Amino acid sequence: MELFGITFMLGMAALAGGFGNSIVVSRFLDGIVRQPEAQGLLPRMLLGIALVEAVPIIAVGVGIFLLIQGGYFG
Amino acid sequence: MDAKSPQLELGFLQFDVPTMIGTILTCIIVFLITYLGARGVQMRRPGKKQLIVEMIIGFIRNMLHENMDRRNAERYIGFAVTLFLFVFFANQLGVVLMVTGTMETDLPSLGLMEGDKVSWFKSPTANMSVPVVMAVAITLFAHVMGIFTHPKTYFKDYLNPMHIIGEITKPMTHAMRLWANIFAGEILIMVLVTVGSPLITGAPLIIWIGYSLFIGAIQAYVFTILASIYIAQKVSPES
Amino acid sequence: MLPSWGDMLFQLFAFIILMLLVTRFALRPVMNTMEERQNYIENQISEAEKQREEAEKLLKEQQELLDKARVEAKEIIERAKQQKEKEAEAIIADAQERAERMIKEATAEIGREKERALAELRNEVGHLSVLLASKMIEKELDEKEQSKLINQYLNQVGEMQ
Repeated sequence: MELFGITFMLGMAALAGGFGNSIVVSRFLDGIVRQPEAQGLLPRMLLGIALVEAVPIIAVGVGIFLLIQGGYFG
Repeated sequence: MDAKSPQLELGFLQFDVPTMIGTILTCIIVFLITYLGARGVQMRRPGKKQLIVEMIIGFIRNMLHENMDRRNAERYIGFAVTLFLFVFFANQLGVVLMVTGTMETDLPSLGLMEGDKVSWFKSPTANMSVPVVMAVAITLFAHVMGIFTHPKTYFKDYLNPMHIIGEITKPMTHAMRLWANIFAGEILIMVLVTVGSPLITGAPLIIWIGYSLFIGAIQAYVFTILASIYIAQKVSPES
Repeated sequence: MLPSWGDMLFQLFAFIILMLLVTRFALRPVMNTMEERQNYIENQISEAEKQREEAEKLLKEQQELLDKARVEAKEIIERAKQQKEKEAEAIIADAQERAERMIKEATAEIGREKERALAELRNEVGHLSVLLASKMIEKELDEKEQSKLINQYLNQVGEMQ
């Protein structure tokens, strides 16, 4: 049951992170297509991706933490 | 995952030895790099080392100037540069030096028995204490500075009680973002190193190590910029 | 796994010490040098700007002087031209006057010569006619009466003329 909960959390986190990243990247690509000189904003997009990606990563960290606490690891 | 982390008990305080080693090592690396870069500093013909240090300082200074007013930006530049370099090298440390050893003798003071596998090196930022204490310290510092420098705007913010929740979640996400990134990266490296044959895990391991280096740099930048934003919100709210 | 007070305290102190060390031994000299360099560059730029301004001012002055000189030269040329014309006119007028005077003198001379020639001619004619008459009429008339008569005739001729 715990395993199912953790896996479900990781899956949902990955789903949400994927949607978030897709929004960021698609908006960026739209912007680039409309204004090719906006390519200089690439570092900012990567920063935004890092901020979005942090949420599922936090979920992964918490999941691994819970797994270790529950004794499933090692 | 059978690697135990040696612990050092001192009174009621408990110290994690790999974290201490990592912290000290990172401190030494950061200090040496900045010190060597700043030694024999010249105005006219800067050497390569000096150029690198100046580039880092200029990068952080630009970041600070974007977030707060000029006077405060100059005041916090030492803090921001140290924070960035510390987090950056702490993140890379665990990726580069994943050394696990085996205990030869009992070491009861560290809580280890003979035959235990021990990981002597890991990123200090992969231990939850390090990002948590830095984020909490930064937040507390920002609040204290906010109360002392701009008491009116500071208390006006809390007329909306939702802000209190925001103030609590800020350091939490700030710390968890860094910790989870590095921790998950290290766990995955450990899994790839220890589980399965190297023929299968070798290629993903190399890719993941490269990605971890990239993630480490990005997260160091994010951690620093968030710290500067949180401080700027309290210290120079008008800008 | 959970954050422990020992790690947190250790980390906090290590970071604060590192921050002090980095600020004291690395950041301050580098920042000072960067500031120095910036000041130096700013000085250079402002000096260059000042010099350029000065040069522009000088150039403008020179241009003004040149313009003034050009205007003056034009004026001088104009004046010289005017003077020349005036002189030429004066010379022409002088010459004309002199020519007129000479013509007048010549005319007077001619008149005088004519008068004299006429008088001479009259005398000669009188003389000759006296001679002729005396030869012709041989003492029939005396000389005085004769010359009176001839004068009379000649006057009549002159009046008719």
